[in-house]
Amino acid sequence: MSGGRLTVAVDTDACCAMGRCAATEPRVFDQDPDNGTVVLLLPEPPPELHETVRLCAELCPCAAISVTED
Amino acid sequence: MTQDAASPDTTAAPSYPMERVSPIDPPPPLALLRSGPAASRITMWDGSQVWLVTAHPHVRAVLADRRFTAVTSAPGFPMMTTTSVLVRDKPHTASFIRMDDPDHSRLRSMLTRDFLHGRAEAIRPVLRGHLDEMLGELVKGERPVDLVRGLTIPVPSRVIALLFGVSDEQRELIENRAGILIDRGYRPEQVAAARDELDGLLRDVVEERMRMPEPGDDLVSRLVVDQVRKGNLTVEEMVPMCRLLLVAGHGTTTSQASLSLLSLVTDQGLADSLAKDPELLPKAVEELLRYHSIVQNGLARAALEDVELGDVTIRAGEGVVVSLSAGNRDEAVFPSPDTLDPHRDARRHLAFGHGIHQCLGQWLAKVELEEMLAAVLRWMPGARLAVPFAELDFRHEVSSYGLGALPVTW
Repeated sequence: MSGGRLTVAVDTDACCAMGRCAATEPRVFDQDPDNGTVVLLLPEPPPELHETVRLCAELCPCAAISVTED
Repeated sequence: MTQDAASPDTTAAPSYPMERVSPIDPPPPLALLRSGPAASRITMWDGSQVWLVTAHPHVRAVLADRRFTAVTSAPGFPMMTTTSVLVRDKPHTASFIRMDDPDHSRLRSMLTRDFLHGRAEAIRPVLRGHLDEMLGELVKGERPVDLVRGLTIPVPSRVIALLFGVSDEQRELIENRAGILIDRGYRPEQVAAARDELDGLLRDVVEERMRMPEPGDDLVSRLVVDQVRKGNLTVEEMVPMCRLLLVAGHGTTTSQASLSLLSLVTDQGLADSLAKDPELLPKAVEELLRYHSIVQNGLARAALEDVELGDVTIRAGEGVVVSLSAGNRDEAVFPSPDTLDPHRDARRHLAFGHGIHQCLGQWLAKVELEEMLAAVLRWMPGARLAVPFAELDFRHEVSSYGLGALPVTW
């Protein structure tokens, strides 16, 4: 967390299309309109979005979002 | 400390489900267990002993871990109700909530599109219209009004009728049987008969659509056109799928809405906050989901291999019950957990479960709950309970905890 850089990765195979990420932080996550699978809009979101992005990773029921901080 | 399941201490394995003291709060022993080891032994109604998991992080961990199976016929699987026994003994009638991946996701993914956030939002204005019509009628009649019969039963029912495209007559038959499946007050043979009848009714609905050259724009018709006719889904698989949508979508929504409305008419702070700031409603609904946790006895799993859960080893073939209501009152995640606080960020609640089986209908449920609360605030400002609290009929025997009636006046 020290460097303040946060990188997001999504695993579309693990994604169960619940859409909690897109509803929680639509600036970073979207959903495929057909099958609901996660679409990552911002792999390196700005610091002001870090807290909600961490929450998205936590709320994802299928652990499809991983967050790396350095 | 690691507990060895080979020598369970029978004196320390209390009966489960435990009894409530306050009708609004989970049974008090759950809070004690939560501060103890990650899992403790409980004795089920059939005499079997399984593990009970109560702390929020451990409930999450079990539900996210694929080494715990949801297959009811798996060795050691806890029998929560007589319906679990039926599913265990007739595994071919199991719906996908009782399956692991890849079987589970093959079937569930056929429904994803119908339950997207955007789809639920599209239903909102339609539902609001229905609600204004229903409440407009209710407020013309005599007071008090029973909000269970007048609102929380018919609303999810109408939503399911919209989804399924069934007639009112079919709907009533179907819902009557579906209600019996989740009620522990019925004898096993009554539950078995109701389940067979329900499957027969649903099969009729499916076969009716199969005969139509161009079925309608409802979920059942879409499954017939997109999946059954293309050979991706059999009628034998589709009937349990429809049964799951009914059982999981109707009684649960009724229960959660009834208890949420009870909070609205008995908690002045909640009523004032929502009247002052309607924008607070989605947040309040998350908190009401956490606070009431209507899936009162939790969810069952069985370990497929040995799993270390915190300080406890759960052996392959042992059953586990995770208590959603205990996890949702975990003070480490929700400070002052026994206080209903509509301003709290309750999004980490476990009311919809966690993991691959997390409630498919959660967006729809939240739209229904928000709109029902908003409609009561709109049409019955200052609504209050019309009977003493002690006279309320809480449904302890039903797997989704709720109310038999909610008489209000305003």
